[in-house]
Amino acid sequence: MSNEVVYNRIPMLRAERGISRKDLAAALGVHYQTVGYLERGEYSPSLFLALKIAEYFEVPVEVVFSLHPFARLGS
Amino acid sequence: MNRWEKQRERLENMPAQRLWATRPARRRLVAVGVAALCLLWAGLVVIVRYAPSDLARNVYLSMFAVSLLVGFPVMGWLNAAARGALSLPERFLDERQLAERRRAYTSAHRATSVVLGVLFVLTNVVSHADGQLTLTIPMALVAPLALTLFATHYTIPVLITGWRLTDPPPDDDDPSEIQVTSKDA
Repeated sequence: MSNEVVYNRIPMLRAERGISRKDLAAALGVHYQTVGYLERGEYSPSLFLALKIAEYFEVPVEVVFSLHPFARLGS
Repeated sequence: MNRWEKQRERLENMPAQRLWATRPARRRLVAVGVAALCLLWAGLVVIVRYAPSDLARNVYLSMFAVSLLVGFPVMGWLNAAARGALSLPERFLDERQLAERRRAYTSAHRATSVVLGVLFVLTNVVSHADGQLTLTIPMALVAPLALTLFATHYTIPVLITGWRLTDPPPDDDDPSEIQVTSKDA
């Protein structure tokens, strides 16, 4: 399990929309540190939480999470 | 605000959070906790060797007091560092905290099994040391043994969690933390 890598764009989406970790955590019903751990890639969310995050940002889940690194913006 | 919500608030805002914010500091704290637990076990050896006697009573009670004085704050700080992952009811925890709690309990179950297994082997070795058919066990050993087993059972998950905890993300948004991709640890 430990070598399973899930990439995410939560920091980018959050920064883009000016949402703090605490606000996002409150909206998702998780501890604010969980958002930090998700962003740092130290925790991979359940399918339920991943869908909730995608729903919160109003984007498809594959926009937020991927099994492959996201392409850098402008590349 | 109910009792658990108050406890959660207290854990979040403990000034000690800053003291133990780094992994090396938390691991030192865990080492102190392990030492306090070992002191309780060492106290049992004193009872077995010297009880019943004033010496055994005084030495054991001194060791017990030191263990208590050291162990209580250490457990409190480690529980706070884990943000209540082991001390709050499940309904107050999110999925990451629940996973953390389950991992700690699974490892603690293994560790406690090893402790009980070693205790079983040791008691057998002591019982059959000189081919004796009877063994005198001081009554003074019974309650401290039960207490030590309880302390071991209670503290091991907290010590394991404290050892494993990674450094928490900063409370406020730090621009250096923002990355587009991240990987599973």
